[in-house]
Amino acid sequence: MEQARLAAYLSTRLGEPVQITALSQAFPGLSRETWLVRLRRGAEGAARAEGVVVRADPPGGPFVPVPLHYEWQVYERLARTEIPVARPLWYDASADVTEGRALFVRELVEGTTLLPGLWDDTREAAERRRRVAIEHAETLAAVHRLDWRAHGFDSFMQAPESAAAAPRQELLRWWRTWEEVRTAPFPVVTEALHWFQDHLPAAAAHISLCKGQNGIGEEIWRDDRIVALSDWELAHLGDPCQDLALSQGMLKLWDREKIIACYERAAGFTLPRENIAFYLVWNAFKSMLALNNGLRSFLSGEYPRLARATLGYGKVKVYEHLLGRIIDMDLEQAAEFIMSGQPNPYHNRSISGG
Amino acid sequence: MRPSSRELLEGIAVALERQVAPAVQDKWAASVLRSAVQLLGHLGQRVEDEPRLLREDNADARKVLETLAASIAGGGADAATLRDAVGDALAREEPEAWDTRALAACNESCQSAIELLVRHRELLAQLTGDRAAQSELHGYLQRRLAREQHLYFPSLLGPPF
Repeated sequence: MEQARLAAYLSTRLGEPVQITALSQAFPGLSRETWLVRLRRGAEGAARAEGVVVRADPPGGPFVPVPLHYEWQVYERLARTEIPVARPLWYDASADVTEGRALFVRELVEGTTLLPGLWDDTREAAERRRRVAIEHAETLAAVHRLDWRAHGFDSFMQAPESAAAAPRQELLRWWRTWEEVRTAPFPVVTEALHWFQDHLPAAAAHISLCKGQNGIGEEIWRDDRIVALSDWELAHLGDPCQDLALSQGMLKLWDREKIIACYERAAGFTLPRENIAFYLVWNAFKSMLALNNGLRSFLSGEYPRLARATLGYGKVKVYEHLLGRIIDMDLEQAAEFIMSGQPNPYHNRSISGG
Repeated sequence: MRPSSRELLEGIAVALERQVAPAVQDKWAASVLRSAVQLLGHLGQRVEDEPRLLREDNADARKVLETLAASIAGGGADAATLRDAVGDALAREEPEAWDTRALAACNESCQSAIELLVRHRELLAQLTGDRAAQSELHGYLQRRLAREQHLYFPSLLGPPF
């Protein structure tokens, strides 16, 4: 994004002079672009320092086949609750500064998405992992307790008819989406979808606002506390067990059962372990769907970023083979198998920092 | 011809990884390089094996479809979509052994038909009277995964970006 054009755009939208003092794109930004902007705003002599985040669709669209406006609506509603999120400022369906691609702007929250040193082999780091796991579990529980009806989430999200119907509705929704976006026939994945149909949980633990992607790498942390939850493009109304299953290594930070018990105390309801097992496997399918959707803009030439090919084709073939293996397994075996194929990202210093 | 296509691709990947990557400080450029190295590793496998794998897979898929075509021939209107997809796939002439693009198009047609049959497993069971067709399809898909596994493992397990 060109700094001078962005400054002019922000000046127009904010109604006063803006000078950008620092502009950087969050790495790796594979689905959508996230630009961190530090600026001085106001007339010379009286200008004040502020920060905003510009989140924009890349050329050809994101990984997750969900419009940016959907995520914007999540932010807009959450900002009126006690859930910690960055304050949303505006949504622009077709901004000049992004060549007509949608964007939204929110305030910049000071903090970091990574926790350097978290996986150090020391007693202090182990104690820190315990605190971080509890902080995350309790924050997630607060999201899941939220009265989504009172805050109007069902005005733009599909609400399951009942806890018993929720798992099937989730399956059918994403099965339909898969058939719309996949880049080639994948009969193995269709077989796996039947497997999911045959292993659906009897009922959701609760019908909650679920965040989607969550855990370290997604949220903003300061002093080991979550100060803002970010990345809501996969938010939906459904089984909170899915968020626990998609917490990207958080359940490995400390004793898994103790983390879930902390969550349950904070949430006020229990999580059937078989539901978590189901969603651990299900998330492999949903990840594959999003990555393959991201390949479309590479194939069309709209977004020739090589990572779209390594993920949208390469990683998808790996997922296809993993899903091909679960078809002859029971739920518990399949969940173990998928978990074993997902190395803990916080063992990798390039991801966890430090 | 030496070096072979595979040797060249693997040589390029090794050179990029050992000689170029350590000198690249910019994280965005380094990320592109990691993606390129991974894709070259995959291409090294694919460039030599793709036509053979497509021929083998097409032969296997067509055999399965021919068997199932007979089973669904008598179905009513509900089965028409399945019959059409299977018929279309089987009506294609087997391409020349060297024509990778045509072999891939033929393969995609077979995969579409197989995907549709898998999708409508209940209808297929009704038409055939048992689950044998489903087992036949499952067996084929497992053979397909085993056949192509070396194209993706381990070359696509490294850092993708």
